[in-house]
Amino acid sequence: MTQAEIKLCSLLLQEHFGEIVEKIGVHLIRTGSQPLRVIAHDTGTSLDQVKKALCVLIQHNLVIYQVHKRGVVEYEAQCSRVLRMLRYPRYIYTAKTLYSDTGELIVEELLLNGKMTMSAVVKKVADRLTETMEDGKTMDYAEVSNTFVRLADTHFVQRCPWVPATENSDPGPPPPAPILVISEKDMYLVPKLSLIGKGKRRRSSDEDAAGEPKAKRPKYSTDNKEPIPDDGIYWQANLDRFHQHFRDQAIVSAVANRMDQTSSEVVRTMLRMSEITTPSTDPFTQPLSSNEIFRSLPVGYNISKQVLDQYLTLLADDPLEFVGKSGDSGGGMYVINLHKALGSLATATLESVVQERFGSRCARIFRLVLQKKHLEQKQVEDFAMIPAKEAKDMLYKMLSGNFISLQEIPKTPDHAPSRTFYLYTVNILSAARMLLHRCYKSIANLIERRQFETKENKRLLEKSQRVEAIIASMQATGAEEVQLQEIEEMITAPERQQLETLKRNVNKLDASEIQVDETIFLLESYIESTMKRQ
Amino acid sequence: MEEYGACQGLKSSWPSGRGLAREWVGPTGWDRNKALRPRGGRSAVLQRWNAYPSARAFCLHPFLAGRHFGCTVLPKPRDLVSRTNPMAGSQGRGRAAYTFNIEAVGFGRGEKLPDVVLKPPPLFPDTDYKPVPLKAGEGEDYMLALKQELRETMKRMPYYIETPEEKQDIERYSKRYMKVYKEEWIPDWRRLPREMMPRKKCKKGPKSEKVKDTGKGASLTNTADVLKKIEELEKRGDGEKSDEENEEKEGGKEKNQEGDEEDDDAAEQEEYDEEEQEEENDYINSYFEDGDDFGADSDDNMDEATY
Repeated sequence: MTQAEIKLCSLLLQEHFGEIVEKIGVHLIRTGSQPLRVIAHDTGTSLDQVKKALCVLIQHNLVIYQVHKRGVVEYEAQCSRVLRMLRYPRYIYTAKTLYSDTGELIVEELLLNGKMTMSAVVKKVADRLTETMEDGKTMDYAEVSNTFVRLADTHFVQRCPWVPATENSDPGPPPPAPILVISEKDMYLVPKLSLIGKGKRRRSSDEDAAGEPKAKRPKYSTDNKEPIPDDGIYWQANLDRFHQHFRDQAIVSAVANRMDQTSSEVVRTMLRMSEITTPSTDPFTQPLSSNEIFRSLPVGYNISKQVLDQYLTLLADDPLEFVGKSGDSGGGMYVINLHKALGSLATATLESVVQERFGSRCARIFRLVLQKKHLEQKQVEDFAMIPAKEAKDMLYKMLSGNFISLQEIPKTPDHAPSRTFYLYTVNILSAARMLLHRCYKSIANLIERRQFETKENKRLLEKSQRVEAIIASMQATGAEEVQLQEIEEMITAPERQQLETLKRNVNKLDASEIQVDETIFLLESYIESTMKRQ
Repeated sequence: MEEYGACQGLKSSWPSGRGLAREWVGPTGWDRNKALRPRGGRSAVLQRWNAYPSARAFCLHPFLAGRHFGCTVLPKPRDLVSRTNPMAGSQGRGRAAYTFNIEAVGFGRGEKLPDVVLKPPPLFPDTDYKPVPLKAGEGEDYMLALKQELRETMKRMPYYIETPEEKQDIERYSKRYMKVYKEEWIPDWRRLPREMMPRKKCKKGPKSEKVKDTGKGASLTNTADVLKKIEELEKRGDGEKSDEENEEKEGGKEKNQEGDEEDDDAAEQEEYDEEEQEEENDYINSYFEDGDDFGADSDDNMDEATY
């Protein structure tokens, strides 16, 4: 793990879980797999706190454990999963666009709590929705359950691995840690519950659902008043599915930018059809025939078959090669080149970074070298039509920024420098890695700056919070306008100004974090796809 | 002064007299092997070159003895200059020679090379181009609001473990009313390794049937069970002591604080027991409690007065 990643993980853990969890988490990320006592000893925290921190981390799927020989349990942190915490707003917003408020709240609860049982999720979400509804209306559990089932069917939520119920044939002592298993077909199996009830306001007494026992043997927890019907079956958000969705979104919007709306719809249809059939790591989707695509076009999109064929031909001929033709049966078999598409997106990101950093002439040289693969110094000047001095200067700027690299081609076996060609080339994979590393650094800087700004103005923020609380309570008890005015004047005009500036800055920093995270997603997808192919 | 590998370029411009090469003695005496092949490679050469800015003063060509060698362009060590090559192509007499065709990298001949940079880049470099404005739209606004809300919500969840503050001298009145009441969260012990559970007298949750463990593990756990029983009995004696200590502490945010204090002791005792693999350890535990015995044993060597 690079230093930048570790720093970013440390900031994220600290913001979300506090310092103790951060200390343990960062130690695990740095040192790899460790048993409990070693962690306590190395970090200097008490065993009890280490246990609590590890419980929290395991609950949120950030740490996994493994039993080694001699009964030693070792804990390992997953750095990449920690970095996903940056993307939580995007996941929740996506769920909102797909499944409206109910879906949004379900995903939010699952992300905030790591894992939950279905009944717990349904209950909490119903309560939350009821609070936002008008007086007298309540949210039915059934509706929330339906949305949950739909989320499971489209794989956006999945079951966590569970403890297998053994037959207890041999009365050996229990192992130090349970071994959790999950099978592919069970991952999205929703237990048959009939959750009856409505959302509650203000947490009045429970009249909970009477669920039927289902497939797995239920274990009754002694803490709750009633037995939970699906106890032991935990659900978590399936981040890979969300990533697949983001990737599809990126491809569709790229096609829309390059061509037009209709072609993007065609591509969207193709992607939707191959959602479940193609695993997200494949370089190509399954071939789809033109007839199938025509049948699956969204209702209300009335283009004729010939027009569709024309669009498909256009897409297949495009130099970007998002869509490829793989056969002629069924009116033409078409695939989407996922790997190539991700590559184009990553390249476009690199180009735009070069342009914004070094200027448009540098960007021209960069695109030129990308296109021609290897160029000598002289050839760059000629092709780009930029005077030699400037071209040289720009090339060296990009070289020292690691966007471009030099390739040596020796003419003689002794690699004499006077008899060696030096060619400029762009290695997309390494440039993407470099940019990704930079993105991690930028987000860490943004978070630090935001924390600094907040700390600077802490006193002022607390004061404004107190004033707001006072105003709210006075309004509730019915106060006059004059009194409210007086209270509001407790915050002077310059202070108000300061608060405004602070709010603007914090908003800007937060928005920047979200946007840098989008770039991180693109680059990571590309790198992952490339590594899988090698 | 040491030899300068870069000066070897001069040899290309020397006349064919090999005798001259042998007779050329540098400032410290010329070791032919060392001069021809600078030890340490290119980086060592560069280091030495950089260390002596007045190096050029020592590049005395025997033919130009007495005359200062007006090198306008000395082969300053650059990343692109490779290892010195005694057989460099003729670059002109009296000039320091590059060992490769400098045109290939774009610098004209006789041109001044940019300076060597000897420090890291600045911390906040100036940017020529200002960044483009952020994306703005309904989705982005919503995500921004979500992000800020999530940040606040996370602080109130039971997963956020706050660092225990040191006790302040003056306890502020407002602190009592600003405490955030958090729900208690109890993890599902069936899914976690057994060592995660806080060791209490009453075990929470049922034990689950699992995959069979190895034999070695079995023996350890058996011993552990026996030791646990013993240590539970011991704990009843210790439990009262730790209760008294806890009364003074502030009402903790966690309900389990008392239990945790006991657990710490219990865990430490258990660790000690397991390491020692002994039965009753009363002897060792109380070794230092009894001050009289300690003093009496080492009376012989004590210089200080016994009280």
